[in-house]
Amino acid sequence: MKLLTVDDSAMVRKIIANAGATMGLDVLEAENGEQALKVLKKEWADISLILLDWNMPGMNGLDVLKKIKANERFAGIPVMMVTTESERECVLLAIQEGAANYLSKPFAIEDLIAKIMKTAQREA
Amino acid sequence: MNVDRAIHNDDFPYLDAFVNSVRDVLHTMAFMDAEYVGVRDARECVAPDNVEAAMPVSGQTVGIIAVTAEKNLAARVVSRIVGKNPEDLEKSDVDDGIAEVTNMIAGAAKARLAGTPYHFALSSPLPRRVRDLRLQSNPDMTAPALVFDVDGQRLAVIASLSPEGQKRSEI
Repeated sequence: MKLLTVDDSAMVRKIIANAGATMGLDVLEAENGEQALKVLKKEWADISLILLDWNMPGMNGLDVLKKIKANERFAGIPVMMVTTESERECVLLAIQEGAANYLSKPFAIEDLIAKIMKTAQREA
Repeated sequence: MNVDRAIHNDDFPYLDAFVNSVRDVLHTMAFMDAEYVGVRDARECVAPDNVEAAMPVSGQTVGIIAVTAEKNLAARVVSRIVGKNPEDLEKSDVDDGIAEVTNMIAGAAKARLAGTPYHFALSSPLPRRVRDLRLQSNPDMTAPALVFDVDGQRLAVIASLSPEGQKRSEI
């Protein structure tokens, strides 16, 4: 199982890569939306979950989410938003656009792992 | 970091949201307790060796949110978050980590300020020197910096916000 983390912060990508490693997952990384879509074009068949930041330079996470859900090859891959945008309207907007789950920063590692497992299992 | 010269919390009614957010972020992500020392003039909190990051904010309130931390403390915060020894971190790791800490503090404060005149929209934080910034604040006042003691070292969060229409001053 492969997980794709999309975040402009190397630190957050590292945290997610560490969490993925403890769960036996291969973690692919992208530092912006454009790079994420390139990775998806190559690896989409093996990716089981996408963790997506909201505020990134260039395309923001919500626009990336819309592009993923508009692509028939990628649309079935569950997306979990991992973001500092924690207000209710942001959560609702992301869910409305097709996000399967939502994790607000700051987060405890245990919550990250639990939500990764729950989201991946729910969509399996 | 000199913290002798105090300014008044009452002049900046949004500061409590930042105090709670700093404690929350450092406790949740780095398992570190931040003891709030007080609010000071931002100019007294920057130092050439500090690790710093800043995020411009926009929307109904405009301004700058920035973090400035002593170099060793910045490395320890980031090392605790990523689970590596401070000596194993590159400078770019620490710069990026403090930028993300700034992002998390700003996001947590934004949620706490929902429904107030100080609610703002986030942008991407960048490592940069605080002394190079144009800080927004109320007319004739300096930019406020919230000073924290974390494991005996100092970290400050500069939160310089102005609801649209207010005059701005510079650091």
